[in-house]
Amino acid sequence: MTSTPLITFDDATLGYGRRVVLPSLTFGLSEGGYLGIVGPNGAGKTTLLKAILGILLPTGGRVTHHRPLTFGYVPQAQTTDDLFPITVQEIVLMGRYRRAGLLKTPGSADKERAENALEQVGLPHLSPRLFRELSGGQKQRVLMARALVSEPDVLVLDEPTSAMDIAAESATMELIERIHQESRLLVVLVSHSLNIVANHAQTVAILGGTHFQIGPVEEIVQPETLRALFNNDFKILEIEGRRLVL
Amino acid sequence: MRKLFIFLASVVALIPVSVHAQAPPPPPEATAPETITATPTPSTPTLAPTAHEEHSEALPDELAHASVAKVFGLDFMQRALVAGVAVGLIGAYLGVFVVLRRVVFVGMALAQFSSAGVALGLLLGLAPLLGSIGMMLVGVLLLSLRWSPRKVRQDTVIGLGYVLASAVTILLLAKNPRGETQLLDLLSGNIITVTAGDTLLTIAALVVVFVLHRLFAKELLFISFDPDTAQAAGYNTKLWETLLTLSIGTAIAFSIHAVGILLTFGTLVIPAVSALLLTKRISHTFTLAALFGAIPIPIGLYLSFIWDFSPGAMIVALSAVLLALCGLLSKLRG
Repeated sequence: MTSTPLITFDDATLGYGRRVVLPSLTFGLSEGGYLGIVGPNGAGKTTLLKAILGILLPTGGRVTHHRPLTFGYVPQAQTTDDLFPITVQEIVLMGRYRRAGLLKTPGSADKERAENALEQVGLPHLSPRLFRELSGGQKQRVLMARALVSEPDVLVLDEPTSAMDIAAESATMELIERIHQESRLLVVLVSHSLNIVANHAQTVAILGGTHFQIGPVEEIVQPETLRALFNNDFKILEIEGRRLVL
Repeated sequence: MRKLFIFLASVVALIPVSVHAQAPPPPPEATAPETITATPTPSTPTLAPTAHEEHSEALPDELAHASVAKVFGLDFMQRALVAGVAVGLIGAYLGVFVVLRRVVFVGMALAQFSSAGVALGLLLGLAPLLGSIGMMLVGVLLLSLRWSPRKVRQDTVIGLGYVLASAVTILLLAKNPRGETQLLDLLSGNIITVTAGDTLLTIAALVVVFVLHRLFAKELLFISFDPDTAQAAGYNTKLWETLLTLSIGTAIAFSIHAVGILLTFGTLVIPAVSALLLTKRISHTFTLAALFGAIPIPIGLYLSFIWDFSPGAMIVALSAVLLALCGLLSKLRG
């Protein structure tokens, strides 16, 4: 099966004003793909994400969206403001606002879709609850439901498991994988953890200081490649089919 | 929340300034009922005019025991009631955004820009309201500019705007021999001196702002709650944020012109905080805030009339009492 290209970076340089953050990026993202972006704080993960979303235009080269794309963006749950007295249903319905259009409010069909999305992420009973009263893991799933209800072409997740315990992290990653398999979306996942990306993504982009490398997980997550990138020794273990980068 | 209380304290600190610096209002246009006679007020600028000063020939006892019907039978009190309720309802509604977005000080900065506009209008012989709106627009533009977030934080920009507008106001006033009295009257304001024309103008402006907010309620909520996701969804968040700031600035400019700074800020902040303490639905928060903005207006006007206090300060004090009650109720409910 051939995948339809959705986004292409063609020698694109990303930055702000005269400050270059990521120079000369060339790669493509296709329908049904799963890209994991890994790197420490300040390496340019958010910059790359903004360029993928089309919010940040390249200062050089070109970033092409091959057709109008709908992005389902999932921010980190802890970045949402608990001062707002908003229910879970109200949050999920925000994912329908663009489709409802200006001067219109989401109708009963949108509410039904919101309920279905909540069911998809395993939280059908939480619709009337206040968002701020939920646990971190539940909040993250609600934000995923909001992204899904927008019927996206691309699901973009920004550190979805940060500040989670191991059980919640594992459940969240399994959910993302299930959504990816069921809907054949292009998934773009940003994480600080190479272990998470190595076990779930198909393609990995590693950012660190002056270097950027992108390719299939099997090629990039290798001791030699990682040593060349980070100037450090790594071990890759496989335990019950899962990679462990040490 | 802590920042809000600091802000409330600074608003309360404005009271003596507005009371002592207040110029006397023009004579009321009202035809008073037979038992209370309207007379011109003294011309020396001293304290803020109270209802008793508005009716200095009436006996204090007579005024202190006036019935609600009698007090609100006075034309100037009716105008004060209508203007006050309009500012209370819509100011408190907008205040929910101000409080939730944690931009209380944006309101202060925009008001200071409006002050500079009034000073400019007086110096050039233009209508002060025009100058006020013009400079408010300049303020919105400055606060909406894309500054380098790594070097200059948004709260710093707000502070810079505030101090710059204050300095410009003082400089413009320095060259205007007649302006200071009028300016202080307009800015510190007194709700009981509001004219019929200003009342209508204020209501018209506030209704336009309110209708805009109702039409774009979902967009304004989305960009306020989660601007990053809204931007990823395709919203021009900068444009929507500018629209929001502009609408709040417009409401501030017209409200200050009608009822003064103290009452404008009082209604912009206190009712929204009170409503947030009690509600668990955003739609209920807006409704309750509007109610909390309007309820103290008639009570405050009546009490300030019979006890001879400054109405703006009395209304803000009543709002604060309501806030304390809401806080208590919120604690009791856990």
